[in-house]
Amino acid sequence: MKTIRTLMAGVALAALAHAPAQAFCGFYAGRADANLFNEASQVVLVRDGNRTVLSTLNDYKGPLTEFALVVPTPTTLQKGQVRIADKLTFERLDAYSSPRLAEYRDTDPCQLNFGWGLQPIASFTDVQAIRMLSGVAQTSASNQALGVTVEVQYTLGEYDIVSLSATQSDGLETWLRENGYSIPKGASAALKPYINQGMKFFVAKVNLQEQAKTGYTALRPLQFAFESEKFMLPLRLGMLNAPADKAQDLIVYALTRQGRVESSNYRTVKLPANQNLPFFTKPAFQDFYKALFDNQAGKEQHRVVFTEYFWDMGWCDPCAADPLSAQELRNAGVFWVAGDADAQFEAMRAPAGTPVPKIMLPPGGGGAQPVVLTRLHVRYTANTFPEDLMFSQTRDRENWQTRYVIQQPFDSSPSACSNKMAQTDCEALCKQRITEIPMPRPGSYDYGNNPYYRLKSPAELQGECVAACTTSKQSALQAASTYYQQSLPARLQTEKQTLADLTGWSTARIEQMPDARKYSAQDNREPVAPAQPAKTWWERLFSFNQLR
Amino acid sequence: MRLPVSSPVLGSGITAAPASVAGRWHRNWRRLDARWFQIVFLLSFLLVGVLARDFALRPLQVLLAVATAALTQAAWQWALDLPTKKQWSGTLSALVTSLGLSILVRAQSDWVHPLLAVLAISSKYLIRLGPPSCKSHVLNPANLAAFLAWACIPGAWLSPAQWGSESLLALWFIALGGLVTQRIQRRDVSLAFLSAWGLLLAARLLWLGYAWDPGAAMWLQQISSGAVLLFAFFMISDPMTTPQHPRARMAYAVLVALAAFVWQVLLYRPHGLIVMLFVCSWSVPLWNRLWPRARFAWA
Repeated sequence: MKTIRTLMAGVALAALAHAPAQAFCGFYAGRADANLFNEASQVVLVRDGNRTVLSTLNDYKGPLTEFALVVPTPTTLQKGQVRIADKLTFERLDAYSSPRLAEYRDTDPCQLNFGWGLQPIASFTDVQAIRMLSGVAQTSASNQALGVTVEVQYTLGEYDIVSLSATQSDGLETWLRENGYSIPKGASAALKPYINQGMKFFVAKVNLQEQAKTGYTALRPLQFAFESEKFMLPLRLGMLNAPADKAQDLIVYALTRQGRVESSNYRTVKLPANQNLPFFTKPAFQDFYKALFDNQAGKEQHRVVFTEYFWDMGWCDPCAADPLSAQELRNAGVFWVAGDADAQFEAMRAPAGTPVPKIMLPPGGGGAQPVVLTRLHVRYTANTFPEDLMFSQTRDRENWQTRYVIQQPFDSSPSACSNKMAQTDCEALCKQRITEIPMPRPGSYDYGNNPYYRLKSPAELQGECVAACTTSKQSALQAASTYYQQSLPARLQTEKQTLADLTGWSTARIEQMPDARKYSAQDNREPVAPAQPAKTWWERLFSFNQLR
Repeated sequence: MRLPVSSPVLGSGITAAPASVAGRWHRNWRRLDARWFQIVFLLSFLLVGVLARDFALRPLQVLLAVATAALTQAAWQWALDLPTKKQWSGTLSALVTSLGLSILVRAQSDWVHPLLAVLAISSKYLIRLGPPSCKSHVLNPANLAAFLAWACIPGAWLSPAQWGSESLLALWFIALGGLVTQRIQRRDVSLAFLSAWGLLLAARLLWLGYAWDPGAAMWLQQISSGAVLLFAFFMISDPMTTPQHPRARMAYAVLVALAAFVWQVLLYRPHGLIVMLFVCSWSVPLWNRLWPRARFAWA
């Protein structure tokens, strides 16, 4: 009986496990990383006080001669304030914070819980481990006339960099074009408000000779360190080339000390998460997440910022990838990870070419880092995001993730259960079991742990044992039958509906997915008790009754 | 329905002729405490926010805020032996305050909302300034609560953007807000504030050189924010904590708009409206001294 109760407790735990605050005890089964979204720009935004370290990753794929990067910056960026960042930082942050799939497995419903003659055994594990599926992440004079002042000019890695201040937007557009920057027509109208705000411009193009020397095929990310009250991303400038209703994706990894980051001028919404999906979604998890995001972004008419992940960087549960090490965080621009934040930030503004200093950690790795990561995913159009994206840091520290759960059915059937039960010989089992009952030693009053049995004859004990065994078989068969014909099909039906609601997929489309019909009710109409083996145990039951 | 003549509800000397039923209804409507309307609207905003705008707010936080606000109010009324101690008037105010702070403040734990409710209600009795004719509490309690949540309460924050800028919702706010302010005759403050705020934002966009597109959309996005409208119709329109003289009140609303504009738009600091209303509130006793008027009283 206690075994059953423990089992019930186990089931209840598994059912609760999709509640957000519940500690995770299943296993990570897959993730949907940023590569899924074509043309998604990625930005790492490190912020504490008014200190900002911004890294941008361009997924630029055109001819390198055409590449031009124009970033409005609150102050003129001096030589030391810009670095070449490591693309690996983005990959690590992406892998760590990706939407994830967790997997649980059902236990075999066909179990002979035959405890007659034994002390109750309290240990019972409901959740079984499966191995991790996914591996690593895929995972001058004329200038004056134009009103443009070149503040700083240098080459950094594959980039020719200029920091400019400008007084006229037309002049800036002309200057850029004359100096070989390929910028879209009409850029001056978009540049004007930034000039009037007193903002400066960081401008970069590719130095082909230097680029060849680096040996990289893709452009490496750039990292800027500056101080400003403005906690924002100049989103609007990137919309110049796109049609007004074309959606673009932006993923922001905000690393802060205090709490979750949200937009201060657009709604920030958590994606629907922590729901149970049908087991057959597992191989299609990336398609699922893409469809879910399309569907949710469409429902919100591309007017909101979605939170995909928010977690204390010290840990994860389940881990889609290990949390970033202190050195990786430092590379990402988190200047407060090891000791003096002021000195660390100044080091980030040291003359260019200075390597990021190695940081010294106290013995034991320095413990949990006071860093929280917010992963925001924005799908925007020029029409729906008329303003640049502004942020504020909250004091919210409640970890949250886009996690989905699959509960793998136990792959068997009622008939397999019948066969298994038929092969269980109660008579033989009981003969063995009776010998295991602690019996009183001759001449002693010690009746062991089971005084109940002491006055019965071996034949009586055998009879009782076989009856108990037979009942156990029946309940195993009943459990298997209920599981495969009622609870599993019903659960799958609910999970399919969740899948349809989240993704907007039609029922017909879902039913056509591989294995979608596997455990549905009509495919499981097998006799509860198959003819041949059943006879034997009924016979045994009757023979037992005759014995009494 | 036939209404009894000279009922205490209706007042005396009203004839029961059917033609005047509407008139009587109107008089009753005018007599009912405006805070009842505020409560209904704040409650509906709270529900809209929680159900349709995924506010991170738990029912327990709201319940605790309402309960502690009502208890704190009663405690002060009895402790000071106020003539109003046996009336429901104070409870209405407490309810308005606790609903307002629930709409504005977010917190991880459950103790933040009740703590703020206690502080907000107590401030009405502890921080009182002004000339004898209209000595009153200085701070709007919900404003104080929001300010404290932003400034110094651990684990608390404000999420002003969570209302979004959808125009339908904005219209709903304006309609309901208008009704409430008409009832308490403070729509002049709301309108003066909204006009000043809208003009300042428009002027900035023009000065920055935005073209019609996207300038117009930006302006709409900024002005139709739910947080701005909620502030205009339910916070700055508080008759107790704004100057009593109508013209002083208008000037005050413009001052708050200007201060918030400088703080938030020019200096890029957060929560301009909440912070600057808190700051400007301290000047209200001075306004009342310079332009005296009798103090407002609830119906």
